[in-house]
Amino acid sequence: MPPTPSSDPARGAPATLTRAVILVFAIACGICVANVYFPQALSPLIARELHAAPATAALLVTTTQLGYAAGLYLLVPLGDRVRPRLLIVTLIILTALGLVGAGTAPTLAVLLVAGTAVGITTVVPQILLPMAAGLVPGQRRGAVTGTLLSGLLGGILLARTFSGALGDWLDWRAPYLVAPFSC
Amino acid sequence: MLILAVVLARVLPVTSPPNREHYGALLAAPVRLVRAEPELRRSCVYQALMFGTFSAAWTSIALLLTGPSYGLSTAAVGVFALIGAGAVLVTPVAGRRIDRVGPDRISLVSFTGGLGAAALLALAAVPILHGAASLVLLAAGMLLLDVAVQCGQVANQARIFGLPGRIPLRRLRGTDLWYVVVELPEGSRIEYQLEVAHGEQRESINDPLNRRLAHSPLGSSSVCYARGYEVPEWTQPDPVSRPGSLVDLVVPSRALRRDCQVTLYLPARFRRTARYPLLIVHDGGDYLKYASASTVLDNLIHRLDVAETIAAFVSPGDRLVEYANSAAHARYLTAELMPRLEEEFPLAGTPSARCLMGASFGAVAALSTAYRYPGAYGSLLLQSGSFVFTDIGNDHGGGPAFEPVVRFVNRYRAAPRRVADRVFVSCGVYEPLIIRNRSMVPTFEAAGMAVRYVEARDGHSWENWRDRLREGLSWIFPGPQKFYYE
Repeated sequence: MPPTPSSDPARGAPATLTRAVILVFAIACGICVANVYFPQALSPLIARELHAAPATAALLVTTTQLGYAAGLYLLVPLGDRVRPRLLIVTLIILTALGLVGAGTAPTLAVLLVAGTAVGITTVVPQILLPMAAGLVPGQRRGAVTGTLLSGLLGGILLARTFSGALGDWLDWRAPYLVAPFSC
Repeated sequence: MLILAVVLARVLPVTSPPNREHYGALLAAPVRLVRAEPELRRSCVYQALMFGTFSAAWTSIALLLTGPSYGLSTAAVGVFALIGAGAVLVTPVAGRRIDRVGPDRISLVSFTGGLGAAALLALAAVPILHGAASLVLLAAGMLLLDVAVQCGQVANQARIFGLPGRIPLRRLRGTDLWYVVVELPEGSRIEYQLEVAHGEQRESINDPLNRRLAHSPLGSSSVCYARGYEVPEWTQPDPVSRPGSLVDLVVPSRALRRDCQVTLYLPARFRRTARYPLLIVHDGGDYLKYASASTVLDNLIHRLDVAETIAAFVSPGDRLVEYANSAAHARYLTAELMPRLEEEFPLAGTPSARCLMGASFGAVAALSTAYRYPGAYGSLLLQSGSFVFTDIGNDHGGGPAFEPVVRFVNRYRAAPRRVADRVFVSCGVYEPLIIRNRSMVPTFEAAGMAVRYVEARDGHSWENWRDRLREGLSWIFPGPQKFYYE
């Protein structure tokens, strides 16, 4: 009597629905990349409240972008080595911590350090994109990539709307403190 | 962010990372890839140009709108960004178009859109156009720029995530010659055909100007060798190698309810007093015909790369049924064919001296047979296995024949089991199956099996499988030469 393969439908079942998961990935791309772009609308407010020259406050935009570039080079390759779920969730939690650090920064120097850290860790979209592209059949790759990039570019464009409005209404700390705890 | 972390922790598929290289090697990989992959370099340059334009335009538009010429508030900049964000609706459309016409056409659309956007933005600066007209032009220009960047980015990503299946040919002006330029990394070997359209009718033909052909059960196709590829000489007949003999057997099978044809390979200098390992080869007829299996065995055994081995080349009846995790097929091999061969021929008869081998669906058959009889086979040689599984959704893109395969592979990945001691896995990097094969490696290792994994710059083809036989067979049944060195 040959041993038949034991079946456990609960464990063997595929993760979940395609479209819903792809949509979640797209939203995640937008939210994560927004962290790089929303400081751009805040630098005049930061200059005023932290008593810095506008050009000095604008350094925040530059260091966040540089941090993002460093994260792309140093952390994204880990997507080939570390289980994606562990890597992505860890990076999001670290990003949330960095945002809280930036939002509570007493001086511009602390803000620059925390802002750079946010840039480094918020590289999740660039790990999600190739992973999703690799898990769908070739004939759907363009469509899935397109959906995720919609989320990404939506995040880039709406980030400034979000932080500009919230910063005008409350102050420059509000976007940093709202981002980790909303959505 | 935190809600997102919780949601992603729930929906992210449990996939294993594709490799375990050192972090330093991972950091070096992008540099190596940029140097080796022309398509990647092209995507990088396109993306830098378009995204640079996009960043410059969006940074300066905020200053322009809030500056002296327009005197608007920051809220107006937000509204502009909202209009531009409308472009996100375009990306899924661009993605679907790329799936049909390839990324290059969409890159062209992107550049054209970028130039159009520049024209609109320049027009907005014409001094006579003040106020509303100028603002409308600015908004239209930014929207067009966003659309162009989106299209370009999707095309660039699609280009690096996989070469398109179809590449359009161009006509050399004023002649009847058609051409396409494809840059191939060193050592590549690709098979291709030309698709000729007569109105609605499409016909695939071999390249009439290329005499080099590769054959398979489905017919032939043209072959192109990139620089650095050479047909391994051990796959070609060598008068010095003493040939083994091929014996045809008929094995009546109760499990499969048919008489099964088996071609047995007996090595040169075959002796009844010796004890040989047994290699069972799925799609055996095809391996003999299209992958020169008996010539390869003659040469590798003669050169002491591979131990003297008896190989049983089996052939399927209804392949898509028998090779798709069939209990009857596993029973035929393990409870009927193997005992009969071990009774009639001088075989070692121990699990470590038995190997199941197969390519594509045949590799699924080899794995599922070992899965049903764990411990019966010491090693597996799996080439370009159709290990189709679904981590996300249930759309595997393979058609109904794959349903039982997907169920089997999903189950195996959920609860990996040690089914043999050693597994050799090979796959071509130009096969869509490369991702599936890569991600089976950690699964096999996690189950406690020794794995040797090899990738080649080749496709889903018999010559790819032929070219990988030396590495696979000499690892599984090493010849005395190997023992001498080890």
